[in-house]
Amino acid sequence: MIAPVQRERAGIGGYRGAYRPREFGIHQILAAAAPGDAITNAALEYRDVLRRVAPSDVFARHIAPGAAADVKPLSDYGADGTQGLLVYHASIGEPAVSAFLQSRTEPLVLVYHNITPAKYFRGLDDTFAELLVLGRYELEQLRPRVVLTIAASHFNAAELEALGYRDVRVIPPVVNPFRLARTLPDGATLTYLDREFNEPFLLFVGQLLPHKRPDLLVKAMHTASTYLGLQARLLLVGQNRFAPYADAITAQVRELNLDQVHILGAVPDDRLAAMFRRATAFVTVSEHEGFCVPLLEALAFDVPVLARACAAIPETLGDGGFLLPERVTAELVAEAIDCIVRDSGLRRDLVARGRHRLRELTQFDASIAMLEAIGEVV
Amino acid sequence: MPPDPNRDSASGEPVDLDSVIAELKARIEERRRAGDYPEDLEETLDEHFDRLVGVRPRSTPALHSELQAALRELSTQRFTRARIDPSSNLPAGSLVHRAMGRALSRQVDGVLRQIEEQNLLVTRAIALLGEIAATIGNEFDTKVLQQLDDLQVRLAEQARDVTRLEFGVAEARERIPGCAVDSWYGQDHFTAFFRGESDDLRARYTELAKELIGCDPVVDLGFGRGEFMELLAELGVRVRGVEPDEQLVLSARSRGLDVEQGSAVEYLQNVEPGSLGGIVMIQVIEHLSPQHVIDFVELAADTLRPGGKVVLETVNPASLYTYAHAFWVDPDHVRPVHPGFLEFLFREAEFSRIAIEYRSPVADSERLVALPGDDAQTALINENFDRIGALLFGAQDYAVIATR
Repeated sequence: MIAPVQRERAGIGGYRGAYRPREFGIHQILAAAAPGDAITNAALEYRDVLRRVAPSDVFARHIAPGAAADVKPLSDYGADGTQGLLVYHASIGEPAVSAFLQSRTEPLVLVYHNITPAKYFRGLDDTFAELLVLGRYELEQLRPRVVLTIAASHFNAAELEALGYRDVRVIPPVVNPFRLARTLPDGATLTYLDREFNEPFLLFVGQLLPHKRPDLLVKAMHTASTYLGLQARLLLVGQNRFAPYADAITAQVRELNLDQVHILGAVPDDRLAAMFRRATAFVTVSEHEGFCVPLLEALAFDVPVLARACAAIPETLGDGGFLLPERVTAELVAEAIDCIVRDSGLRRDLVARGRHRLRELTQFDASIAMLEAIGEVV
Repeated sequence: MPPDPNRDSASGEPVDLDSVIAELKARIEERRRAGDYPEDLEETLDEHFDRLVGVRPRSTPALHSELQAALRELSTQRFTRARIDPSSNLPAGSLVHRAMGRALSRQVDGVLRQIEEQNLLVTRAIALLGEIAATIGNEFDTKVLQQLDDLQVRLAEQARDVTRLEFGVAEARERIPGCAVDSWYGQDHFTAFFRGESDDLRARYTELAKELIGCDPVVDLGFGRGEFMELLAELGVRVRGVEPDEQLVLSARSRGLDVEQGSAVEYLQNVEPGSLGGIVMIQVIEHLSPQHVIDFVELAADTLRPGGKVVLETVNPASLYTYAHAFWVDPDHVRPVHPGFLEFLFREAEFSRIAIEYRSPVADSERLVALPGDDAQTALINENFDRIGALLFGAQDYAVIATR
């Protein structure tokens, strides 16, 4: 008997010509993939775990050049059969991905990393806001197709339950917080920080987006330096995905005459590792996070963390850092920064808390939990 | 309490972070009181950034509190005689004013009371108006945002429907007659299985190929295994092949044939008008949709130079035998094309000569056997047998040789 062979297609219209046997696979689908993006990283970590049990690839609708080596275009997803499992990492709305998922017959696993509320982008980028609204709408539409739902945090699980999902499993992202800490730091960056920075510096890692509130950090730096006489710098590291917003932050820094605030954009891992090694503290006043991986990375570097009790942050950070209340003013953030920079005892205490928290978190092997959950539906 | 620089709060005991936060808040209050922090620091910083980021003003709380203050002032304004200035420029004038005031006190007080009552009513009405304005604003905001959300969702739904349709169309296009069926088996295997080895076919087509001598350049549309192309090449005819199946194209190319991958109609659409001497389509036209059959003849007329020829062969639908055998074996066959219709098409396209040649007769062993005997009844039955036989066992294929 001739084995059933599936002709692989190269998307709408046109054949790739290659013949390939249809096989069982657990593949992942993303709307967009970019290097350094938390969801892309999570999908790649998932892939490595999934490959222990089945062929597994990551497919995305939009692929940034830097991610092209690891991620395949969605149009390459070819297996026509009902064998296999699709793992969908839900983020922004993307009609093409949604239509693709609706057109498939494979059972669907939903991994929810959270969708930023649209209100942060209204008036700033209405198109993007629309995609965020759409993302939530699509989540609702997909619900009947989903056989397993995984949320990165209880905060995310609660959002899914509000959309009618039941039996949501909370499994933190399969991330290794020590990966960055074990990266060899860039020597030139270390030398630069040692020679040029005479004062302590704070590190923020995250995309320059409204819900991460880098503007509030800048306001706090202005307040601390102007009214508290704080001598410290702030490094903002992360992709500037929205030019108008990043421009506004740059203008804010310039107009407040804050030479001590540096907007660095995305940096390679080795440079980031160097900055973590020399940072006095990690700060974030983000209002919306589905998990917040950089917090754990800071802990892995023994860097004290100052954060704000918003969204999933209290869940992720636990007792491992200095958690400001949800409602803060620039003054309170400034006072806290000032306190953490000046008080070495407080920093030592926070480092000890961080180590304890990291031990708690790493006792739980998320990859096994994830494989077990997937095993139940295969 | 100025902060002591570079404290070290560590005493080995874990720090109570809640009390640190309480301490920080107390310190802020203290600094505000002492004027270390400007009173409007937060607002100034917010306004500054909002201006940079181009966000619309969030609300008008300042205006709202101003209105409240104005209303408070309005309602506390007392109307009394005492506030009427009795001073005068005339000597003893103020005495006169006071005396008049006292004399008219009842009337004046009555008017003042009425004004005061009126004032209370007006104040209340303005307060109500303020509330109404705020409510309208809120309702408007909520409604507009809700409608915007609805619109966005609807747009998204439509975008998704369009995408789904696009997927559907792409899927359907692959199923449309005239496009190759999406088969996992090799087309060469299929042809070998059902149509015999290449050598048999070569013998069958030698005569037909000779029709194209002197017709360079010739294009063989859907050349399959390329037998006809090879025959033409041996006859010294320059021929190029077009075939949708990739495997067949690769195989032909490896044998040194001049071929490319593509579909018949699309290929002709891109050919220079009047540039071809011959077009070959052997057992291909029955794979085309009716629209493509019609388009093909028109394109052939356009692309052939005067004197150029179309040589095509297809299954003969006038023979019912073909339905039982050849035609429906191939899943990619769309519908048989009647010789009468093709003749009509070539005539309409003003081809100068159209010849139809019936080919592949059904073997005698398959035909009805005549009854022996020569009486009138047997002759009648045999005559009827012949009529049925003509319908059932007509030639299986026919060729059209149409000259431009």
